[in-house]
Amino acid sequence: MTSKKRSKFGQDNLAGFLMSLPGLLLLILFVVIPFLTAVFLSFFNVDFNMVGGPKFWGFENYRRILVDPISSPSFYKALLNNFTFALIVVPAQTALAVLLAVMLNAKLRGIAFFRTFFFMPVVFPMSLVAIIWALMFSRDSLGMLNGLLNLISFGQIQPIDWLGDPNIALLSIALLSVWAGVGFQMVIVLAGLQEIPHELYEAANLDRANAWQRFWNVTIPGLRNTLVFVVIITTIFSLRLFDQVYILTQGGPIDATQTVMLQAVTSAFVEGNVGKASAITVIFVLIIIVLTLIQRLFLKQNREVK
Amino acid sequence: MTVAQSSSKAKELASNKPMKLANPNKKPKWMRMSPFSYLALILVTFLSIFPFYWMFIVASNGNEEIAKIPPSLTPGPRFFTVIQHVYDASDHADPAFGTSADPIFNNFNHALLNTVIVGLVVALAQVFFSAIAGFAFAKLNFRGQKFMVVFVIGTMMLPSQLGVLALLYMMKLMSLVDSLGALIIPALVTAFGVFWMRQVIDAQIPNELLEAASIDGSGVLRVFWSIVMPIIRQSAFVLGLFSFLATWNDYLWPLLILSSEQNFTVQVAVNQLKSSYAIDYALNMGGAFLATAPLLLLFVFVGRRLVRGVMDGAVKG
Amino acid sequence: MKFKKVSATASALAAIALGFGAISPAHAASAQEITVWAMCSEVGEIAAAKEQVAAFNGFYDGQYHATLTCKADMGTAIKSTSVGQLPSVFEFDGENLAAYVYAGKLHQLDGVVPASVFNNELVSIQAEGTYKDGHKYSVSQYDSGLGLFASKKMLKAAGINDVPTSYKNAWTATRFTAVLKALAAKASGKKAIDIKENYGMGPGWPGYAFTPIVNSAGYQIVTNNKAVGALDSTAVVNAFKTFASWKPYVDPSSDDKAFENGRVGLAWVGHWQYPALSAKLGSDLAVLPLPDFGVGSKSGQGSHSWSISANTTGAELAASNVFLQYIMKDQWILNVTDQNGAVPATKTALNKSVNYRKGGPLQLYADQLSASCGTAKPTKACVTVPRTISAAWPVINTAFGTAVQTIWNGGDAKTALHTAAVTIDQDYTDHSGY
Repeated sequence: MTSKKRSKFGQDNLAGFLMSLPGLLLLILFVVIPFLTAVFLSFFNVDFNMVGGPKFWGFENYRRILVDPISSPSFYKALLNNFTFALIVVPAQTALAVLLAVMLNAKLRGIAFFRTFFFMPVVFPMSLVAIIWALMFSRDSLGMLNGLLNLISFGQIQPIDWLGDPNIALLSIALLSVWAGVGFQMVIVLAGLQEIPHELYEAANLDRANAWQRFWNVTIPGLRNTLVFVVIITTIFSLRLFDQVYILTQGGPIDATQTVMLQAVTSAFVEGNVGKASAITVIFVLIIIVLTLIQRLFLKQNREVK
Repeated sequence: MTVAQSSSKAKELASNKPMKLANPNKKPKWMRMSPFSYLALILVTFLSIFPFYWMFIVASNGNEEIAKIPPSLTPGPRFFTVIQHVYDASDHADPAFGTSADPIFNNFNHALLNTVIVGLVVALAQVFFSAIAGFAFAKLNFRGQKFMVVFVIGTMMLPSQLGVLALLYMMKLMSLVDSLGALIIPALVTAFGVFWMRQVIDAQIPNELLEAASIDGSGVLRVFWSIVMPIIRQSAFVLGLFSFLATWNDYLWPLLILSSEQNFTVQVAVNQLKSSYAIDYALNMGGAFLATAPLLLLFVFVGRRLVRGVMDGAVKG
Repeated sequence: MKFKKVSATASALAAIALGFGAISPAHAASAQEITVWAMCSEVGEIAAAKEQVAAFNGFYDGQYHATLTCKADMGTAIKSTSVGQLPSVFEFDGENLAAYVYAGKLHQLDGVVPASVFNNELVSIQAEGTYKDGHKYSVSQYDSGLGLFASKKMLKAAGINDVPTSYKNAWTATRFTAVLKALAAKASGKKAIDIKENYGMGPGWPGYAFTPIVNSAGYQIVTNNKAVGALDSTAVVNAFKTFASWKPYVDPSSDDKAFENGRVGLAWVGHWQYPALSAKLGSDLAVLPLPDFGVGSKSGQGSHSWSISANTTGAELAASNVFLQYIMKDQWILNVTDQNGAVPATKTALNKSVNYRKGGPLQLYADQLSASCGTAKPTKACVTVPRTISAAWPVINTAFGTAVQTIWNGGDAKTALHTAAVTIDQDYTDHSGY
């Protein structure tokens, strides 16, 4: 990663310190302090309207979120949705990213043009993309997807309630998310592919390996670290799921698309419950930290194997 | 291994085994598979573009035509009518601003302009702050440096949107509620930006170059400005582009902090279009179209550089 | 219209005590200056707001001067503005009144605005503007009407001849089930009613449109500061079981036009659809009361309110009072209701309204609003019930909406309503009973 050998240039303590200071201060002010505030507030009974100020009540917010028989099921439902979503999206998006990257790694004329188009959905704001998909997902025959299914099945497939059916809504959100996000992972995999020494393929060719064997025995092992990285990134992105569900379903139908982030935001800005929202936030960050640690272990093992 | 080594290895392999390729005179493999490849590539391109195309179809046809079965798949004649509706619907007749009758200085375009202003300021600021900090972390020596680097990487784990509550209070203290400043100030720097610039500068700037400059007697700032910046300008551009796009992507925060339409960004303006219960597909799509068109245009010009930049970043990271 | 803005802000937050850049009005030399925030949600309402402010400034030229600012998102504006920086006078969604009073943002209007202004208001609006301390905190130019729209022809074709003529002879829920069945049998799509599922069955629409089911079963959602024992009572649970049993007859109406386009014979919706429907259906259109779940037909109400901010004092307070009195004149009430179609909220203006006065096509709404239950336990004698006047309303709205959605999607009514009731009670406890 970084060069072990430091430059002899710039022994100047002060200049380096001063140059990193603005960025550091801004990060402390707008990232660290807000988070510490959230940790602090998570131990209080506090909301936006509270008359008489916040009241300390220890772990009550955490008890309600994690233990209380009436209020905790909704949190676990949200967490379950997050993980279900990740379980759908991570394999699907990673596999698709590899497939697309392999396609784009060919030395075809105009391949850069295709790369750019494949990447296009990534750069468009989810808030706008979701509005387009809301119409495609429309449950009556006006919906583009239903119209398409109807057309290709000669009217055999009945209109699907993409966002209104509790059994389908999360899948629909996953479909939209994969569409919107796969380009990013694809480009990372593509970069990984180009790092695989070409000789390995040539050697495999000479061994009469077919395309499938080359893929499994050369491409996939060569991509190992890239894939670990992609899987981790995608997992964290899918845990942060918010914009799509906020715009399209608001967590419904019957909590089928409720997510942890959505719950934090709803608690804070609909119910005005700052303490609860902060506690959800803290739990969420802890989950991410645990996942990141697992990732580091996993990556280390991989390096040792190499 | 070097190129020479690998080619000799290939030769060695080739000489040990009889040539197995059925027809050595055939065209290279990649050209043989091209018809199928092109078909697949075109299909995926179609899937990538289709929703945007569909948005334009709906926006240009209006509700009635879309309600037909099967729906129309070609652009219709009502595009400008629908756009005018978007302007009308966004126009709350605030006397301080333009009206829907004005094709340029109306509220929706005003929101677009706000978004561009915020995006540009944020992009420039992020590149600047990230580059100086990244340079200091990668190439300078000072006390506390290691700790600072670990600190920056650590803050990357904290999702920024989770600090929204405290940020609201801060914005109040700074009297920035309902202003573009509330969108700009908290976004001046990101941990990712600093980390990325550190990686880039570390990889792209040889120490010898800096040492030579140091012998010349150039000061740190001068070296940064006249040696480092020109070399990393491609990567800086990509970071700026990402920051710009991230501003367009930010949805929740502008929605929470802005209440006056003169400060609306385009995400909020589009959101206002759906405040009515009756679903006006054409209106929504028209708004989405106006909001995405500038990005589409930008993407045409910089899309390739962006993809290249992400690939470079992925290899280095 | 009135409801939708209302619910849009309900899903925003009640009030964050945040500050806001200073407002610097252009002071006229001698006139007492006041600042006014209006909700700019619809073109007609914005026009009306500008017209009445311009007229006010003209009428009191040299004496008072109002500066109008239009807020596209009033909920965010109020919650993010601390009380010292609020304008003299502002408009807001009536359902948020209690939250604003609780947060100390509103000025008590008793003793400021003359009693005659309040006495002329419809009782429904008087109820919505009264906090639990018994004081008035707002005035309103208009209210909303909720009921059923029906196609006379389709009812007749389905053999239904006992069409209600007033809220006093509304269909019972049992009879209503039979009506739906009969209508569905005759309809092309085998559906009978549009309950505006497209508005969203989650928090928001149910808080306005389906709270009357709770009321018609004999309860307020929160009775004596307790939801357990009220919202989850057997009567309410049974009412919602009946409600859920109608699902097979409900057109999802994702185009918003199931009734307008003749796919169904009934629509459970508010006054705002009247202009489009009467244009399309003409004399075939009838306005009916909501079904009776035991304690008489009940209906929702509530719309935009006007108030003075808590820190307004002295000459500014006096001028604000003059402003509120001015816009509560029949002329300006009718000016805005002509543009947005809502129910004029004063008795005198109502009598001048072609649609809502006695004999008018929408008289039912006026009758319903004139028989308000207030915050008391609903009886057979009253019809309209304001949304719970409590700072807990955002929580109530969310909990209740979630319960309705769960029930609508096949969840157990008792469990869902009990969960909502416990959630609501906990919120009261957390806030020392508000």
